[in-house]
Amino acid sequence: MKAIDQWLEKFKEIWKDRFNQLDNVLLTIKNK
Amino acid sequence: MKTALLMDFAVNKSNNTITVKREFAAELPVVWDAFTKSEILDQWWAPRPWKSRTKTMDFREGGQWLYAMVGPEGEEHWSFINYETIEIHKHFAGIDGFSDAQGNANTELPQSKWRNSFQSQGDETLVTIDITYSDLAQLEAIIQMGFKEGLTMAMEGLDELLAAGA
Repeated sequence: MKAIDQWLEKFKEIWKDRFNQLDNVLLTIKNK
Repeated sequence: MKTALLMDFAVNKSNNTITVKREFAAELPVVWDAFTKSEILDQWWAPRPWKSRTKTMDFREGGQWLYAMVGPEGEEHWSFINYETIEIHKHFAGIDGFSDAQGNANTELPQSKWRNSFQSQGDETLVTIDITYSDLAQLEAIIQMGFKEGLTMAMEGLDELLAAGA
């Protein structure tokens, strides 16, 4: 299961990056 | 104003579910649109350096979002979400999977059930995403195949891990 745990950690990082992009999109929408 | 927005990531191996919670600094209708309108989804859905490109979006119960993840070299990987239940500004759920460019599901690859829930917190919105696989074997399968195209960038080193029997 160790590989799964490590993969999940990378999966989490991907979601962080994705949501940071959404933060920027939401900021752009709010500033329009 | 808070400077840090909550993000919580939990794995329940007993029911094969990954739960992601995240706060966003926008009111619920704005965040809802960002998850349900393809012109906005395409701006953030793909992890860099990939791009999301919608072919069709039919956001209704029984409808489908069909999109391609487009890589830096122009490679395309097609995916879909089939929407099953929708309660506007509260939650929506459906099936996520891989497909061809026509939206025909690739049943040889894992599919997952998604439920996205939205909770207003005044000027902020909490989104909870539950991703459920039918069994642990599917979760292991997505690891071996690199899960989703946009996540392949996260797979660096995993081949070695698996080869090492980690």
